[in-house]
Amino acid sequence: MKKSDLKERVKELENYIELLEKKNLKLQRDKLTLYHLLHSVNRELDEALVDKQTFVAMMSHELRTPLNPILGNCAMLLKTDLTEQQKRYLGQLNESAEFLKALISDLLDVSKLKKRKVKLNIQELNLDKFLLYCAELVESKIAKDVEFVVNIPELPYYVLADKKHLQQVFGNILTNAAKFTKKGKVIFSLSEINEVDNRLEVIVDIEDTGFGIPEKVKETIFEPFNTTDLEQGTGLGLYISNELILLMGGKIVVKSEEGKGSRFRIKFYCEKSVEKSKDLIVDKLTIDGKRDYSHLKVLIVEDIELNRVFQTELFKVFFSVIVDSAENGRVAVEKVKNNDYDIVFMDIRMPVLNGIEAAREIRTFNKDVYMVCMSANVYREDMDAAEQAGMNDFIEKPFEYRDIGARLAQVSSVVTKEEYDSNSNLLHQLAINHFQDHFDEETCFRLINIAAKDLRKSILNIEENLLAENMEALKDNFHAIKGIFANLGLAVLAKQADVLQEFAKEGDIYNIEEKVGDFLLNAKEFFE
Amino acid sequence: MRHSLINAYSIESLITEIDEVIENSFMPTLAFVYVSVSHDIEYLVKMLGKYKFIVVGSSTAGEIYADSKVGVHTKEQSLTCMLVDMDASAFSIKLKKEKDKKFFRLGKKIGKWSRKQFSNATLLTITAGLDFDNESYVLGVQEKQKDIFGALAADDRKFKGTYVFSQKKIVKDGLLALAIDKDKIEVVTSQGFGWSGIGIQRVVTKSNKNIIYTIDDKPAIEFYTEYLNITSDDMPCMGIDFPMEVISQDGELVNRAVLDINKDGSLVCAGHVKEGARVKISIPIGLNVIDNVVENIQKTLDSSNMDKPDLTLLFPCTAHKELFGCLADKEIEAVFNISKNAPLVGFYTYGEISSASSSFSAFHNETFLTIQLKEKK
Repeated sequence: MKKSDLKERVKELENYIELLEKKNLKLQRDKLTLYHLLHSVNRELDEALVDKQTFVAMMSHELRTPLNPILGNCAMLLKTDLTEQQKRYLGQLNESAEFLKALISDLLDVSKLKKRKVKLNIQELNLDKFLLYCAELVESKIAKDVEFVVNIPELPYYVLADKKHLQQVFGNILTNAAKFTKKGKVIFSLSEINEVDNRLEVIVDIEDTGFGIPEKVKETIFEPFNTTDLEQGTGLGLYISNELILLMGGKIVVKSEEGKGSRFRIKFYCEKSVEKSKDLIVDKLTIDGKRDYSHLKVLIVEDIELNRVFQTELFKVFFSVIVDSAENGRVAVEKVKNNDYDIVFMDIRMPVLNGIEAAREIRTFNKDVYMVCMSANVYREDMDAAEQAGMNDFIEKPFEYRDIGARLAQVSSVVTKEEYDSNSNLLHQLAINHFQDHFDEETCFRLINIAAKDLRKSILNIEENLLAENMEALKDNFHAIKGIFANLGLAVLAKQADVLQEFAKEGDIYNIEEKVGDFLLNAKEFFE
Repeated sequence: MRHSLINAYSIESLITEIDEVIENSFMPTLAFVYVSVSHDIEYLVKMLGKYKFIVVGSSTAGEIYADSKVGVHTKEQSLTCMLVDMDASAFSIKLKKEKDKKFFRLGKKIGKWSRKQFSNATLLTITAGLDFDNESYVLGVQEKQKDIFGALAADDRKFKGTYVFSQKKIVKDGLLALAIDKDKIEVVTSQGFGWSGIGIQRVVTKSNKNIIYTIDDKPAIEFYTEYLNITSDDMPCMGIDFPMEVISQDGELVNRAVLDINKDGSLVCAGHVKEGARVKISIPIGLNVIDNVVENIQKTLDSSNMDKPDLTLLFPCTAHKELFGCLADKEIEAVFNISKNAPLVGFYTYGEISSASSSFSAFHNETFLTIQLKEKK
């Protein structure tokens, strides 16, 4: 090949390389543009979905608000003198309103679950007793020819779990079993509890000899709006149950044969709490029944007049407390400034000043008043915002009188740190007060002595593990001491232990070191 | 701080150039040596043994360097070295082979070691080994030493074996740890995220540590085959370029590359994925990836007191290189500019480690990690 030809060939190749590089660059840019397009379209679709879910949530919230006085007034009316016929009519009215409430709650739950807004509310739970209670709730729905077998062994300890959501799950699946089984058996069993990675793996089986699940819907039973029951039910129950169990780190496995029956195996995880000591257990429901709340001053903050009037009546009728009310946050702030309330029930969404802002303002001049946030729209953000604003508790509307009772019981036993500081023997006295409604004097002192022994041991353990910076052991120690204080009715110390337990969980030695000194000092007052 | 950047294509050239720097310019105390596995790394370590400076060495999936003199470069199959003369007493190095698969315990030991070196320490760590359980290791380190950053060594996307090395030792399955005294060196870390989940969320229904067996009760492989129409031959590259967006039960989010497909259809992920976690397939957000990286660096620089860093270390995921292809230099250029043209060195990784983000794990995939160092006066 001639030199000139070679040069020409090189030139040609250079041009070709340049062209390829340009093409490569264009392809690269096109690829990036396509990713951008795909991402943008996906974002648009996500936003549209969120809009839809927000609409459902808002509508559910609006529909729930008027249900509050309907159900409440039904309950109050049932306490009056009625003829049998009136009772029957009222019963039907109540049943329909309850059904409507369940439907709306399901819709709201679906919306919250889809938007990942559900927050688990972990609390100490007597699991076996709780499961028996779930069985009791469904017993009346079991058909006459069906045997209801309940296999729940007694557990020697409490667990930490989300009671409300577990009740929703078991209620749902047990109700389905009852509904679809016309003969044979429904078996409800606590089948297994295993300790896995410092957690408890709980397996509950619900078996029935009912219709079974048709092949065509087997694959999709956990999807929303899929139901085997074409006459009743929203088809949301199993979807909600499955999502809630997933949230607890578990799963529901279904085995079913059409015409023969089904087995729902519900596996979930929870934490082990303190050992049960029969002497130390105080049933909160018993306390509620016996307590006298007539000395308590309550403020209800609610903008909707109908709800305000109904709630005032409910508090008076069921608890005989002294009730005052405010129509918005601004009025509430002024009333708290000028009155000495024991507890404030605060709505979130109100004109003039909303509940969160009002709570924040109240906390600037009053650290003690117990504030309960109440909302029909219980979102994770609402709960977090209420906590950050200084509210002590959260209650979901429409509420039942039992919910209120639990809060009033709480406020009756709350003692401020100032009170601890001003009287070093107060801890003993408080614990004795806590026990003496239920036990004779001798038993009270025996229980106090048992608790003192356990406390000494726990404090020693904490001190040892602090030195060794053993976070895992400290987590258990704080957990144990929290249980002791809770059993003694010493809510403030139990709360402090809970905070320290959280720090230990996070391995946060700095915060533990900062807070543990005061805590141990307060705890040791028990022996003085 | 003085520095010198060397890029070579043979071990001999690299050594010659290092000798020239020592003879004509300055005596380095620390060297970051990032090399392709196409070179004989064992031989390189032997050659580096004659020097007194600390060597932080790793195999890569592409080398990165830049300064005002040589400009911005991303290379393949090369040897890249940054020599610096930072205060040697501010650094302490350890190389450790992993022996018994007890990664959490190993991490705890390293964290303890780091805290012993300096009362106010931060830890740079690079891990090697395709089976190295980085998530457990990082969790272990953080039991003792919260502050940590670093990367996973790579091997040009061959997935045969990765290495870390010092001036004396090379380790195939193990780690390199460099404790840094924060009383003497200011360290600012930032992390860019540029991948985002698309499609609907699915639920991991069976998993064990980093193996996902089923998603929505179907074999996990279907998650990939349905979206991307691929076979196991396309792994792990496709699983790195299109990782899973994992949302924990607490709602926290992390990306997890998929490194392999087992015969039973289960997916081998770069980090742990718990049962009950929600997953989506994720894609890069196009050229905006660069904006995200730059914005994050700007934010962290603004919130620190660091005026201009002495040195920038880069650990971008190898997926960034695949995404940008011939435009990869653009991303590095943007980082170089926002770092006020401070000299930089880094490599494309198989994973990033950073405690700076608020994510539930300090082990990440698909991110772009930047560490800026400055000697305190």
